[in-house]
Amino acid sequence: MSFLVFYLAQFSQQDQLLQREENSYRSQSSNTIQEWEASYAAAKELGFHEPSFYFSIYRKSSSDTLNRIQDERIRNVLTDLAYRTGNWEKINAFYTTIKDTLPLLNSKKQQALIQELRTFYLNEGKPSYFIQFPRIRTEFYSLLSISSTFNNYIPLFKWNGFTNQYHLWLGNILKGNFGTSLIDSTSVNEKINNAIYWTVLISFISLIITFSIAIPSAFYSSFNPESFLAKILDKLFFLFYAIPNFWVATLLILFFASGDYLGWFPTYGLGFVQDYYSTWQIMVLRIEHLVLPIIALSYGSIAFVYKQLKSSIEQELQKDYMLTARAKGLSSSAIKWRQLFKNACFPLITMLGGIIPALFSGSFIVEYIFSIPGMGKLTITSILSRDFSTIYILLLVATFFSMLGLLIADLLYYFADPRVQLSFENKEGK
Amino acid sequence: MKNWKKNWAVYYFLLWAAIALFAPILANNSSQNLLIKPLIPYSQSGIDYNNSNSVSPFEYQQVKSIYYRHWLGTDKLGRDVLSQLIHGSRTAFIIGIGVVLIAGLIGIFLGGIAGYFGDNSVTLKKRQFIAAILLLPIYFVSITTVIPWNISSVGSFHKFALLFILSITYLLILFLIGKTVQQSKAKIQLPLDMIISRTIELIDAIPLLFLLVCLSAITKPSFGGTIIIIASVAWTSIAKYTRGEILKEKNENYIQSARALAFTDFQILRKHILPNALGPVLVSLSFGMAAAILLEASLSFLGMGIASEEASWGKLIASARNDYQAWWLAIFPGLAIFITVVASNKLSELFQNKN
Repeated sequence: MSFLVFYLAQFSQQDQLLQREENSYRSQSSNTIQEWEASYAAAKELGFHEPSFYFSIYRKSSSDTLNRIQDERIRNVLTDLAYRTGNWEKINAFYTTIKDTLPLLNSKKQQALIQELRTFYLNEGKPSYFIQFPRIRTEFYSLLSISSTFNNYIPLFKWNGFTNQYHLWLGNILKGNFGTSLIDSTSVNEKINNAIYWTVLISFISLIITFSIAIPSAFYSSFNPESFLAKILDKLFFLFYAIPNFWVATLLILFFASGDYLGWFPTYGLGFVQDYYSTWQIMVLRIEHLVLPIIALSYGSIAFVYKQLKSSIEQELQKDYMLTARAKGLSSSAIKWRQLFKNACFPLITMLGGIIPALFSGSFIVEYIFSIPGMGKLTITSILSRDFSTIYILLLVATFFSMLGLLIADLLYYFADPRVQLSFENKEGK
Repeated sequence: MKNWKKNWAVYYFLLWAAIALFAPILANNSSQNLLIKPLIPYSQSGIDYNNSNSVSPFEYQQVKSIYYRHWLGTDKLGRDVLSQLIHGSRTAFIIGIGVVLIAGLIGIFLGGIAGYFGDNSVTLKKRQFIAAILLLPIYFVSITTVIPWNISSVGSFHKFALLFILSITYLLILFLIGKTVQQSKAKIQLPLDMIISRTIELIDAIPLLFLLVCLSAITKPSFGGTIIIIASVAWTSIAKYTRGEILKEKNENYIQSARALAFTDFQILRKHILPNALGPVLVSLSFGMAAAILLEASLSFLGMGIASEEASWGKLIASARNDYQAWWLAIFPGLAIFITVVASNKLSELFQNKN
């Protein structure tokens, strides 16, 4: 999992770098050399100048320390040149010459030189400006004179040791140090600590409400399938199942929270706690603010649990042990509550595993709409402000929690249902 | 399939497809350039300055004639809601069909392999297996470094052709090694089902929207990108469904007898299993379509996904968040999403009762 998240994070390195530069180095960069130095400093701060993994594999015509060239367009031009000529040492000499020449020029000439290097292949590889400088010209033509493209097909392998980006990143996470935000330089730990409380609280309340509404209504409607209420429930929950939750949340705000229609509830946020509020007052304030979000979050899972549980009950009703129980002369309530209830509720445990990721996803939109400072809101704001270091940690944390949910569901299933065996137990038995 | 005429979802889909196809003709503001006069004389982003600041459909509107009326009102900038709705249906259609095509291909292929071959019907000879293990790093290195992925001056056709040639060479070497071995003992089973099922579980464990939003953070907003992002998470449910269905069919008696008659795997798959499993697979595809439309709307609602100049139902609902008295901004696109999702579910009934 961490591989996946790290791999995703690699795609946004350039953006991360830009973001960091914008936030801390913008004012200083008046000319190109300073810009490059600032860029390198930013990269060093983020650890991007290290190799990305434990080992690197690269073409013989290329280099393993390419990621130290921070300007993406120049990096592309250089790899392109290297692919054509197949000689990295010459390219390196060429690039060093350019870097050495730069400080001798005034800033206008610097700009022109770098601009030409960046757009080298848009001009079909024909230099016009930098052949004016004799040193660069000699390097460039000696570069073109040698062509050993065979080097393109020789892969080289290099062991990078433990000072690589992945090792440092994962090590920090395992130590519980999630790094700092790119935007406001606060610690990501702190951000997540503040946010996770609300998400867990809302998800937990929503889970309780879901089960306490869905279970009785599923049992009622499968025991009395012909009744009027059961038909209404069926239709209602089918509707719930198909309505997108961001629409419901928007409508709830529109009609129950805004001043134009029914202003029963506050529109968004969690309310502002004054110093003199008693615990009771704080609770009332919070509940007032959380009613609409929890409705928006729960209705979908209520419909889901209702549907699944009902089909499970109907399956159980047709099994042989029901007939046996009836033949033994057990009263109908004894059959229902002592025999059927237990068996029909096993799928609920499995569903618990599936509902937890769904609640996380759902809380995402609901928190965004109602401005609740939870994990979902944090993710959206991080993404909209392109705060990558926070985003990938959040993805990792959310995945971890969902997996934890699945594991707990599996374990609960194991303890609740004696028929389930773990795979190693099964082998021992045989 | 026979009683498709009784299913309202079929007609809804035809209507939807027609609106999606002809959206640029149905609603645009350049009436003089076209032979046919557009039904709605506003484009998706055309601003009517006389009726800006969210005019209700029932309110008095400053328009030249009834032909220019905003039937479903306008949004805060003065753009016509109906026109945005029509162009939004085009977006939803492209995304829905695109995702179903890509996710369906991946899902049916992987689910089919997992279901049909299971854990122990694909076997490798021992020598073949060892060769595969030894060659795999070499193969991996060659496809990652020898192919010039990061060289912009080399065309993508060239790159994929190299990838294809390398992959074929790898498989050919393994095949030839297998041919040299005569003894049929010492076989190693390839747990295809386990590998695919574990992958599906891994993807399903991540909260869906979370993953989607994180993926859309690194891609540029466009139709293609959004389709690929949604398809990369939507294929799992199709694969699960296909796998289950093929597992069920595989143990039927007629497959056993086909096998006894020495049909090859390919023949059995194509002529016997595929036609029988097709109905249920189509069911999962139509559910996948509903899910894709919902996900696209959610992404657009959050301000991600497709490019900002394209209209989308999700975006229209999002614009209702900014002015709370404008119920028409939320109700109509929401209804459109709702009806389309219900219709996709209804459409699946068509494939369920095949008799």
